[in-house]
Amino acid sequence: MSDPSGPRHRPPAGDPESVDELISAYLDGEATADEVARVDADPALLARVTELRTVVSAVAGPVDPPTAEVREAHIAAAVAAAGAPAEPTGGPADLAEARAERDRRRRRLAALSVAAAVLVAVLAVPLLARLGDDGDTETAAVEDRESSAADESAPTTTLAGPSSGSDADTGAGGAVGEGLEDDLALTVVVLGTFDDEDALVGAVARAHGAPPDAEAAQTTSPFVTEPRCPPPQPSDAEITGVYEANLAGAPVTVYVLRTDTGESALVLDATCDPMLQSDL
Amino acid sequence: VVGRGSPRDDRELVAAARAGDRPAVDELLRRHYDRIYAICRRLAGNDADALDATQEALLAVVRGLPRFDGRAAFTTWCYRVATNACLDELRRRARRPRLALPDDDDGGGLVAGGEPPLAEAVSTRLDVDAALAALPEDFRAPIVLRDLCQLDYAEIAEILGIPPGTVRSRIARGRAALRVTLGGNPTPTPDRPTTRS
Repeated sequence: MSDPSGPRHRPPAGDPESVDELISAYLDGEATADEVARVDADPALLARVTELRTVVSAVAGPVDPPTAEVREAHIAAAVAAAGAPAEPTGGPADLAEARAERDRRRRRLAALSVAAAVLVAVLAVPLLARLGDDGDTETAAVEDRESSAADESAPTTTLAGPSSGSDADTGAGGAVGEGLEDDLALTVVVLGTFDDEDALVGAVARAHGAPPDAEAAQTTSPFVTEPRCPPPQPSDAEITGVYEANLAGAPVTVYVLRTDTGESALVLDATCDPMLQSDL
Repeated sequence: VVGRGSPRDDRELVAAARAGDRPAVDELLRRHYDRIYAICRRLAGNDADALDATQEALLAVVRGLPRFDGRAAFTTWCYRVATNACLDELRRRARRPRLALPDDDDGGGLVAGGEPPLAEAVSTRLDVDAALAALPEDFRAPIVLRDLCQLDYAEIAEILGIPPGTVRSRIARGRAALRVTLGGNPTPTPDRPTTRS
């Protein structure tokens, strides 16, 4: 915003503009001690202050609020925007686009994994060829790994989203696709507010087991792009879901952990300390 | 865990809102709605523009929450976002705020206060609206933030992105013009800011 009055200047004392500034600042409690003393000692200036106070009161006077219906409509529209993608509107179309983008990222990640595996093979084969009698065996092993990596439609990350579904090891694509893996890994589902732990765990169970089409029924948020809390470490369980929620007024992060015995929800409190683990 | 039933302050509500808690967003907006509307109403000068500007301001607050870093008070940040959203909306409309006459209220009866107000109150309100509308935006905004929101010059400077000295000057010159207009003297004075933009 440009200043239409041009460069800031202090008008000389006695100038009408200077007096306006003086009494205005006095009225606002923004005058210096010297300025306050000057006004207090001058009845004419005090009269101007009184006069100006009526102007301030007029501007500060009550503003008729909108009707309750308008108010509620305003707030509802804004709250709805809180759960929608930032651009340009919310709704199922945006969720579909988000899913499509996620699928595109997975395909790119898979392609990168294959490329990385091929690169490892190309570099490793000549080296292994020089290793003597055992070379054939090791080359076969490398080929096995290459084949295994190429067969993966989508590499598993340590923080796969709920619908990832792959149990394969990260393998050779891990380093190359690390950034993309992080992108994929940080899919967070926001569940909303719950009064007690049972309701929260129940919601996690329902959301985690929901088919992809049910995703629209969940709350997504443009605010959350990564888990509030880091994943539990160390953990020998696979993380298959990440959720954010509000439990009795405090934020919680929920990691769904998969082990040989089944899946469980690990709830981390506002300070990211474990507060509850419950089988799903 | 915060106990249920205890009122949450803005900081807690913002944290919850950022985590996707819609009820927290709702409570936050509800808590600050009246002041946001008042800012927009004073800046717009009429009910219809104020209503549209308020909606834009609320959306801007919600969308801006992820960028709120907590260094300033939420109210200061909220007023900044709301003020800028209101001004942007008014600029988009590309027309000066106009005086809303009692029988030509383009708010369509959307403003509360069904009881016939006192004639003096109506007169005062219309006078204030008209006087503020006659001020250029650069002068109107700091006056509204000062007199309506009780913000100090430093906060206004931060919100409007201008030096505190400029805030002081604009408020003084704007008030001088308001004093002339509200005093019934329509003749522009030499220091009336509308002639200097």
